[in-house]
Amino acid sequence: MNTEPLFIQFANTIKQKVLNREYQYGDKLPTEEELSSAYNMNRKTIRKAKQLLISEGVLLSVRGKGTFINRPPLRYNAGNMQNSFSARSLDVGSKPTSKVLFAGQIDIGNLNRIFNLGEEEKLYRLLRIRYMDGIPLAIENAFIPYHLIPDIEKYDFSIHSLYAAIEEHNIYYYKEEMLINVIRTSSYIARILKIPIDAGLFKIEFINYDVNDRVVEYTQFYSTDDKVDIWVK
Amino acid sequence: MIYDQKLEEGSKLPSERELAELFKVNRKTLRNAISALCNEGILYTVQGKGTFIAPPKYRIRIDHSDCLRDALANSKYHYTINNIYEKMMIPKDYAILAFKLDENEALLTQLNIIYIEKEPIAYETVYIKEENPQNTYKKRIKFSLSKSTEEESLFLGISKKSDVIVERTYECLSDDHIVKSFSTVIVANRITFYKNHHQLR
Repeated sequence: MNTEPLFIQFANTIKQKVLNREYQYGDKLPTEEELSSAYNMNRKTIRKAKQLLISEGVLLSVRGKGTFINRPPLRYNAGNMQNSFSARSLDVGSKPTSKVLFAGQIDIGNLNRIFNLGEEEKLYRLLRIRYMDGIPLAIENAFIPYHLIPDIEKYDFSIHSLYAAIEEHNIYYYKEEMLINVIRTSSYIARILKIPIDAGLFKIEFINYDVNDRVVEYTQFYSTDDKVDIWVK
Repeated sequence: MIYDQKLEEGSKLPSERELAELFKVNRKTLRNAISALCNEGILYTVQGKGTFIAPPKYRIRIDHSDCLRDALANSKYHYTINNIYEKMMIPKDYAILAFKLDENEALLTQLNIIYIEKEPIAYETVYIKEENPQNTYKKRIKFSLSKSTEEESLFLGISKKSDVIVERTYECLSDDHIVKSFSTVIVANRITFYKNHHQLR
């Protein structure tokens, strides 16, 4: 006999339906009235379950429009160094796409404090908006030493994975540092990610080293917490 | 300049005009750069007084422990935990779910403030279902971003609706059996979380 409070049982029922895709992302939840008669529960219980699911991010309430099934957030599992946005997106069952804002050679400048290559060196910079199912999820600003992949400009990074391109050249990540900071957003980022101007933002930096302790990639990701799920395992 | 330590924490930045001349950029570029550094928490501006270098953030390692207090115990920082109260309360909904409580069942609730080097950094709510059980392990469930409530802002000495990181950790005997929960509201712009990972190929 199940002794959990009714509203929790009902919340779990909804979660099950989301997990087995009976309710899909973007579906509108039936009204409280409809749910109440369908499941034979009073509206107060239904409402409490709804509130719980909204606080957990399973449901999303849109003013004036209703309550919808929310998407599963993208999971940043830096734990197994699966440092490829594309690989992680396919994991969650969604379609990743990118828009390239800048791809080209730049002077190393201040980033020499990270790469330690010498002030005259050049980097390849790749600035992209990462989308999942057409929704902007993150801004990615990646830098690699230009000499590492001389033919890098032949890749079309709007469809190709940067990580895959690096691996194709037999460069492997041996060590990774990850830094997480919270910053305030700028109007530029807010517009791209479609977030409010007062939103807080995660700035996640990855510094990847090869087996000889040389930095092979430095990437900044900017995203909000409802779009990414930060796992540290 | 800051990285080279020519400017120290707390020191005031030279005026816009001086900086623009020094770096040979126009005022608009300079203003954008300062704005970006303020957003990152490296500089801060006081109305009518100028722009200053912010104190360095505390670096907390997140892969060797599952909650802030344990991470601090393993760190080089001097920290204290100040207990504000401990009493029976009906907990928030996430806890009712996690502990599988009955409706209106109360839990022993602690409110603690965590200080690093005497600076208030986190507002920690601990729900206790069982005290001092043996063989527990901790599991961090999530990191999320939020804005501080009035009470949190008061205890942490920050402005209302500041950016905070909310960390939730459960202490368990098994995946089904949670004995304590920690909900830690952390002043976001005072902390950098980091993690190092090695992998042999």
